[in-house]
Amino acid sequence: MSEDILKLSGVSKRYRKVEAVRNATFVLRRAALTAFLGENGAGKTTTIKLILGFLTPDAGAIEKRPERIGYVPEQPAFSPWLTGARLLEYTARAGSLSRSDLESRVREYARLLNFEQALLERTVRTYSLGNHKKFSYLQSLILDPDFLIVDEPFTALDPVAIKSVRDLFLDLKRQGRTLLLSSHLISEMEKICDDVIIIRRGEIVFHDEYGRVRETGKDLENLFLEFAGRGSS
Amino acid sequence: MVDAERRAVYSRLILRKLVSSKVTWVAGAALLVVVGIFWIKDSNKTAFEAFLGLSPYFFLFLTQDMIRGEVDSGSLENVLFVDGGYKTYLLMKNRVVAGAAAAFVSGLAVVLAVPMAVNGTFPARTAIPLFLMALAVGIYFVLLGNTLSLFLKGGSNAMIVIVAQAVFFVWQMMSLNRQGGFMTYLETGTFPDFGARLRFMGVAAVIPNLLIKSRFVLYGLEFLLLAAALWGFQRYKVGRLELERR
Repeated sequence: MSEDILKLSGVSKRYRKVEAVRNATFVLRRAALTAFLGENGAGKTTTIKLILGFLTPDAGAIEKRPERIGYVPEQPAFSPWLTGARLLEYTARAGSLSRSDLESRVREYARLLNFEQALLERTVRTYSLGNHKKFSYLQSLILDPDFLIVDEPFTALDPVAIKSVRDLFLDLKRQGRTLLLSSHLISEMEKICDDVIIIRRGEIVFHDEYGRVRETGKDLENLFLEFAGRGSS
Repeated sequence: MVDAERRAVYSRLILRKLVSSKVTWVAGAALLVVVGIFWIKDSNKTAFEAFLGLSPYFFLFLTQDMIRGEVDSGSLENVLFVDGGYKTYLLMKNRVVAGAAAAFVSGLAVVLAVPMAVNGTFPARTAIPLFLMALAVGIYFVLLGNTLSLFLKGGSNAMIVIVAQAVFFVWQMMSLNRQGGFMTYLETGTFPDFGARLRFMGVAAVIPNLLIKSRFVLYGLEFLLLAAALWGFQRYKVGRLELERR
């Protein structure tokens, strides 16, 4: 269990008449990059929100071990009255980060994400969709998270940024960080994932190391279509 | 469990929101202008009385767009608010908004009181309890405004209180000949029976400014019970609040 950073046991969540997540049970290995796959409305975002404490499970338990969690939502939204710089400053305070550490991390990650630092002086609401996403990465990464959750990591990013983000994930993994990435871009996930979880209509229908999948001769797309697309064609 | 660092950040976020809101500046300026007009046209004493009646509204206006709009915007689905931090943040709004408004009106009270104190006309024995009552009414307005803000977006939470007060006053004016009872209670501070007193407290829940009178200071306790009920309700609702899909 010491290698597990997160454990979900029988977690269920219902939105009025819809059972969004049903009896979800899985563990995430420390320092692994897990691809969390599923069709639209399968329950990926609900599961992520349950892990983050934005939703309360109707049943089951969630055990978390990370000290610092980072989170990049699919469509980040920020308090419209704040500039990027102010929001990063507050985030740094919440994470007990010194000013010099904040500045160096902002420099490092802004360069890596191809995010113009001059934008930080403007209110976040004026940012483009892509810059919203990049800023959300920046905000999470300055906290130096040991567990990073990203919902649709490549949404709204240009091809250059997609490559930067992919490299960043690999770099974080090398540093021993755990990543949970929920995505539709199977081709991108295939390049970087260690483990795969597939959710279908609220149920976890597959969870294994991707290496073992490859040994069977299947690629991620075949696996996804076999489990997530089951019965839909 | 939200640690002290995050709580400090939440306070700053709320204060920053207040400072960047036009409503805060307009409400503050309006209070200054009205009190100033009373001071210039009449007297310092009249200005102080007007200030006591009007200052709670400053608290109320500061609660505009405090909860529902922010929840629906998705801005709480942020790394700053994980592990239930958004609940702590939302509940802290009562304390921070009330504290900021109290600091502003206290400063204004000092400006009004000092000239009276210098020329020996400041009625400390009555003015200080009334000012404390005005603060209590302001804090109640914060609790009421934030509770309504759980359901209403934008400034409609403050607006609905103002409209309810206006409707009540119009109704009183129209039925003045038929039933002078309420106005009599208001004037004398005495009630013929428990039912009348209960009705008065019901009205005071919407128009708590009525209580900023010397004869009603003793009603502070009942008033605190109302405030506690609002706080309890707000805790219950926020405790069960979830950030569902937008």
